[in-house]
Amino acid sequence: MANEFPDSMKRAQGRYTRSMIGAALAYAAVLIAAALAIRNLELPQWAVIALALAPVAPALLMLRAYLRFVNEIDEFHRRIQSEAVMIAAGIVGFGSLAYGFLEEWAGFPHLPLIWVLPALMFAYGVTACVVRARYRD
Amino acid sequence: MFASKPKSNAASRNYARRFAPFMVLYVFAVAAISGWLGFSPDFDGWAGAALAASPALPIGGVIWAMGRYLDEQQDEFLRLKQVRSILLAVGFTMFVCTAWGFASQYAGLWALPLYMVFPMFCFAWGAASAYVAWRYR
Repeated sequence: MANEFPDSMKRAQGRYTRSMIGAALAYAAVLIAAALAIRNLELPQWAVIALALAPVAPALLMLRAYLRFVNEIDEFHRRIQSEAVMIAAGIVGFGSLAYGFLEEWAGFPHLPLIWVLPALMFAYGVTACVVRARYRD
Repeated sequence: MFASKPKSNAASRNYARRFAPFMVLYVFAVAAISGWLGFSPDFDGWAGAALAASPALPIGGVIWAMGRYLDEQQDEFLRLKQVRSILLAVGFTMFVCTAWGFASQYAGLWALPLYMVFPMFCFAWGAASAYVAWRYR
Protein backbone atom coordinates (compact mmCIF):
# COMPACT_ATOMS: atom_id res chain seq x y z
CA MET A 1 0.00 0.00 0.00
CA ALA A 2 2.81 2.43 0.93
CA ASN A 3 4.40 1.89 -2.51
CA GLU A 4 1.38 3.07 -4.52
CA PHE A 5 1.47 6.83 -5.03
CA PRO A 6 -1.71 8.55 -6.27
CA ASP A 7 -1.46 10.84 -9.32
CA SER A 8 -1.65 13.95 -7.14
CA MET A 9 1.38 12.74 -5.16
CA LYS A 10 3.31 12.03 -8.37
CA ARG A 11 2.49 15.51 -9.69
CA ALA A 12 3.60 17.06 -6.38
CA GLN A 13 6.84 15.06 -6.53
CA GLY A 14 7.44 16.18 -10.12
CA ARG A 15 6.90 19.84 -9.23
CA TYR A 16 9.14 19.48 -6.18
CA THR A 17 11.94 17.83 -8.17
CA ARG A 18 11.86 20.48 -10.90
CA SER A 19 11.74 23.37 -8.38
CA MET A 20 14.50 21.89 -6.26
CA ILE A 21 16.82 21.26 -9.21
CA GLY A 22 16.26 24.83 -10.46
CA ALA A 23 16.91 26.31 -7.01
CA ALA A 24 20.01 24.12 -6.49
CA LEU A 25 21.47 25.17 -9.85
CA ALA A 26 20.74 28.82 -9.01
CA TYR A 27 22.40 28.33 -5.60
CA ALA A 28 25.56 26.91 -7.18
CA ALA A 29 25.66 29.58 -9.90
CA VAL A 30 25.15 32.49 -7.48
CA LEU A 31 27.70 31.05 -5.05
CA ILE A 32 30.38 30.65 -7.71
CA ALA A 33 29.68 34.07 -9.25
CA ALA A 34 29.72 35.79 -5.85
CA ALA A 35 32.96 34.06 -4.78
CA LEU A 36 34.70 34.97 -8.05
CA ALA A 37 33.52 38.58 -7.86
CA ILE A 38 34.63 39.02 -4.23
CA ARG A 39 38.04 37.44 -4.82
CA ASN A 40 38.89 39.13 -8.13
CA LEU A 41 37.27 42.59 -8.01
CA GLU A 42 37.93 45.61 -5.82
CA LEU A 43 34.48 46.05 -4.33
CA PRO A 44 33.15 48.37 -1.61
CA GLN A 45 32.25 46.63 1.65
CA TRP A 46 28.49 46.97 1.12
CA ALA A 47 28.83 45.15 -2.24
CA VAL A 48 30.94 42.42 -0.61
CA ILE A 49 28.26 41.91 2.05
CA ALA A 50 25.46 41.87 -0.56
CA LEU A 51 27.33 39.32 -2.70
CA ALA A 52 28.19 37.23 0.37
CA LEU A 53 24.51 37.01 1.29
CA ALA A 54 23.28 36.47 -2.30
CA PRO A 55 23.31 32.61 -2.10
CA VAL A 56 20.77 32.80 0.73
CA ALA A 57 18.05 33.75 -1.80
CA PRO A 58 18.19 30.49 -3.83
CA ALA A 59 18.52 28.60 -0.52
CA LEU A 60 15.18 30.15 0.48
CA LEU A 61 13.77 29.02 -2.88
CA MET A 62 14.78 25.46 -1.98
CA LEU A 63 12.97 25.83 1.33
CA ARG A 64 9.90 27.22 -0.47
CA ALA A 65 9.90 24.25 -2.88
CA TYR A 66 10.03 21.83 0.05
CA LEU A 67 7.26 23.60 2.02
CA ARG A 68 5.02 23.64 -1.08
CA PHE A 69 5.67 19.90 -1.55
CA VAL A 70 4.80 19.15 2.08
CA ASN A 71 1.55 21.14 1.78
CA GLU A 72 0.52 19.22 -1.37
CA ILE A 73 1.00 15.67 -0.06
CA ASP A 74 -1.35 13.63 2.11
CA GLU A 75 -1.17 13.29 5.91
CA PHE A 76 0.67 9.97 5.87
CA HIS A 77 3.49 11.18 3.63
CA ARG A 78 3.57 14.51 5.50
CA ARG A 79 4.19 12.58 8.70
CA ILE A 80 7.04 10.69 7.01
CA GLN A 81 8.56 13.98 5.81
CA SER A 82 8.31 15.72 9.20
CA GLU A 83 9.79 12.68 11.00
CA ALA A 84 12.65 12.53 8.51
CA VAL A 85 13.40 16.27 8.88
CA MET A 86 13.31 16.09 12.67
CA ILE A 87 15.60 13.06 12.86
CA ALA A 88 17.99 14.71 10.38
CA ALA A 89 17.94 17.93 12.44
CA GLY A 90 18.73 15.91 15.58
CA ILE A 91 21.68 14.23 13.85
CA VAL A 92 23.04 17.53 12.49
CA GLY A 93 22.48 19.28 15.84
CA PHE A 94 24.38 16.54 17.68
CA GLY A 95 27.12 16.43 15.03
CA SER A 96 27.63 20.21 14.97
CA LEU A 97 27.84 20.31 18.77
CA ALA A 98 30.38 17.46 18.89
CA TYR A 99 32.51 18.91 16.08
CA GLY A 100 32.25 22.40 17.57
CA PHE A 101 33.79 21.13 20.82
CA LEU A 102 36.49 19.29 18.86
CA GLU A 103 37.31 22.56 17.04
CA GLU A 104 37.38 24.53 20.29
CA TRP A 105 39.30 22.13 22.53
CA ALA A 106 41.09 19.54 20.39
CA GLY A 107 42.29 21.83 17.59
CA PHE A 108 40.25 20.25 14.81
CA PRO A 109 40.10 22.31 11.57
CA HIS A 110 37.39 24.97 11.47
CA LEU A 111 34.25 23.99 9.56
CA PRO A 112 32.32 27.01 8.29
CA LEU A 113 28.61 27.39 9.15
CA ILE A 114 27.72 27.26 5.43
CA TRP A 115 28.09 23.45 5.63
CA VAL A 116 25.25 23.05 8.14
CA LEU A 117 22.49 23.30 5.48
CA PRO A 118 24.14 20.81 3.07
CA ALA A 119 24.71 18.48 6.03
CA LEU A 120 21.01 18.70 6.92
CA MET A 121 19.98 18.03 3.32
CA PHE A 122 22.27 14.98 3.11
CA ALA A 123 21.04 13.66 6.47
CA TYR A 124 17.42 14.27 5.40
CA GLY A 125 17.99 12.27 2.21
CA VAL A 126 19.14 9.31 4.28
CA THR A 127 16.52 9.61 7.04
CA ALA A 128 13.67 9.98 4.51
CA CYS A 129 14.65 6.59 3.00
CA VAL A 130 14.91 4.99 6.46
CA VAL A 131 11.58 6.38 7.70
CA ARG A 132 9.82 5.43 4.45
CA ALA A 133 11.21 1.89 4.71
CA ARG A 134 9.95 1.66 8.31
CA TYR A 135 6.37 2.37 7.18
CA ARG A 136 6.51 0.01 4.21
CA ASP A 137 4.25 -3.06 4.37
CA MET B 1 -11.12 17.63 25.96
CA PHE B 2 -10.01 17.30 29.60
CA ALA B 3 -9.60 13.52 29.32
CA SER B 4 -6.50 14.07 27.16
CA LYS B 5 -4.80 16.35 29.70
CA PRO B 6 -3.42 13.62 32.09
CA LYS B 7 -1.85 11.77 29.09
CA SER B 8 -0.15 14.90 27.74
CA ASN B 9 1.09 15.76 31.26
CA ALA B 10 2.56 12.25 31.55
CA ALA B 11 4.56 12.86 28.35
CA SER B 12 5.71 16.24 29.69
CA ARG B 13 6.65 14.71 33.07
CA ASN B 14 8.63 11.95 31.38
CA TYR B 15 10.41 14.55 29.25
CA ALA B 16 11.34 16.62 32.32
CA ARG B 17 12.51 13.49 34.15
CA ARG B 18 14.78 12.52 31.25
CA PHE B 19 15.93 16.05 30.36
CA ALA B 20 17.17 17.12 33.81
CA PRO B 21 19.86 14.44 34.41
CA PHE B 22 21.22 14.88 30.87
CA MET B 23 21.57 18.63 31.41
CA VAL B 24 23.35 18.02 34.73
CA LEU B 25 25.76 15.71 32.89
CA TYR B 26 26.23 18.35 30.17
CA VAL B 27 27.10 21.07 32.67
CA PHE B 28 29.50 18.69 34.43
CA ALA B 29 31.18 17.75 31.14
CA VAL B 30 31.58 21.40 30.06
CA ALA B 31 32.99 22.27 33.49
CA ALA B 32 35.44 19.35 33.25
CA ILE B 33 36.80 20.26 29.81
CA SER B 34 36.97 23.95 30.76
CA GLY B 35 39.25 23.11 33.68
CA TRP B 36 36.81 24.34 36.34
CA LEU B 37 36.91 21.15 38.40
CA GLY B 38 40.46 21.54 39.67
CA PHE B 39 42.32 19.71 36.89
CA SER B 40 43.55 20.74 33.43
CA PRO B 41 42.43 18.18 30.83
CA ASP B 42 44.83 17.00 28.14
CA PHE B 43 43.27 17.07 24.65
CA ASP B 44 46.07 15.28 22.77
CA GLY B 45 45.38 12.14 20.78
CA TRP B 46 42.15 10.20 20.36
CA ALA B 47 41.41 10.12 24.09
CA GLY B 48 41.76 13.89 24.20
CA ALA B 49 39.44 14.30 21.21
CA ALA B 50 36.87 12.03 22.88
CA LEU B 51 37.13 14.12 26.05
CA ALA B 52 36.73 17.35 24.07
CA ALA B 53 33.57 16.03 22.36
CA SER B 54 32.13 14.50 25.57
CA PRO B 55 29.60 17.32 26.27
CA ALA B 56 27.84 16.34 23.03
CA LEU B 57 26.87 12.94 24.50
CA PRO B 58 24.36 14.23 27.08
CA ILE B 59 22.99 16.57 24.40
CA GLY B 60 22.41 13.44 22.31
CA GLY B 61 20.41 12.23 25.31
CA VAL B 62 18.41 15.48 25.32
CA ILE B 63 17.63 15.03 21.61
CA TRP B 64 16.52 11.45 22.37
CA ALA B 65 14.28 12.76 25.19
CA MET B 66 12.72 15.25 22.72
CA GLY B 67 12.00 12.39 20.31
CA ARG B 68 10.48 10.26 23.09
CA TYR B 69 8.26 13.19 24.11
CA LEU B 70 6.84 13.40 20.59
CA ASP B 71 6.34 9.61 20.48
CA GLU B 72 4.61 9.48 23.87
CA GLN B 73 2.45 12.56 23.39
CA GLN B 74 -1.04 11.11 23.06
CA ASP B 75 -2.68 14.44 22.33
CA GLU B 76 -2.53 14.84 18.52
CA PHE B 77 -3.06 18.59 18.72
CA LEU B 78 -0.19 19.15 21.18
CA ARG B 79 2.02 16.94 19.02
CA LEU B 80 1.07 18.91 15.91
CA LYS B 81 1.98 22.18 17.65
CA GLN B 82 5.36 20.81 18.77
CA VAL B 83 6.16 19.41 15.32
CA ARG B 84 5.30 22.76 13.72
CA SER B 85 7.45 24.59 16.28
CA ILE B 86 10.39 22.27 15.65
CA LEU B 87 10.12 22.62 11.86
CA LEU B 88 9.93 26.43 12.14
CA ALA B 89 12.98 26.39 14.41
CA VAL B 90 14.90 24.18 11.96
CA GLY B 91 14.07 26.54 9.09
CA PHE B 92 15.12 29.61 11.07
CA THR B 93 18.37 27.97 12.22
CA MET B 94 19.27 26.91 8.66
CA PHE B 95 18.57 30.43 7.38
CA VAL B 96 20.78 32.05 10.05
CA CYS B 97 23.58 29.47 9.61
CA THR B 98 23.59 29.95 5.83
CA ALA B 99 23.52 33.76 6.00
CA TRP B 100 26.08 34.00 8.81
CA GLY B 101 28.29 31.38 7.18
CA PHE B 102 28.47 33.27 3.89
CA ALA B 103 28.93 36.61 5.67
CA SER B 104 31.85 35.25 7.72
CA GLN B 105 33.36 33.37 4.76
CA TYR B 106 33.28 36.27 2.30
CA ALA B 107 32.51 39.51 4.15
CA GLY B 108 34.79 39.11 7.17
CA LEU B 109 32.09 38.72 9.81
CA TRP B 110 33.43 36.90 12.91
CA ALA B 111 32.93 33.15 12.68
CA LEU B 112 30.23 31.67 14.91
CA PRO B 113 31.47 28.41 16.48
CA LEU B 114 29.68 25.26 15.30
CA TYR B 115 28.68 24.35 18.87
CA MET B 116 26.35 27.37 18.87
CA VAL B 117 24.08 25.78 16.22
CA PHE B 118 22.21 23.58 18.73
CA PRO B 119 21.69 26.39 21.32
CA MET B 120 20.51 28.60 18.43
CA PHE B 121 17.99 25.91 17.49
CA CYS B 122 16.78 25.61 21.11
CA PHE B 123 16.28 29.37 21.32
CA ALA B 124 14.42 29.36 18.00
CA TRP B 125 12.28 26.41 19.20
CA GLY B 126 11.26 28.35 22.31
CA ALA B 127 10.29 31.39 20.22
CA ALA B 128 8.51 29.21 17.63
CA SER B 129 6.56 27.39 20.39
CA ALA B 130 5.33 30.73 21.71
CA TYR B 131 4.36 31.84 18.20
CA VAL B 132 2.51 28.57 17.44
CA ALA B 133 0.72 28.70 20.82
CA TRP B 134 -0.38 32.25 20.03
CA ARG B 135 -1.55 31.26 16.53
CA TYR B 136 -3.64 28.37 17.87
CA ARG B 137 -5.02 30.19 20.91
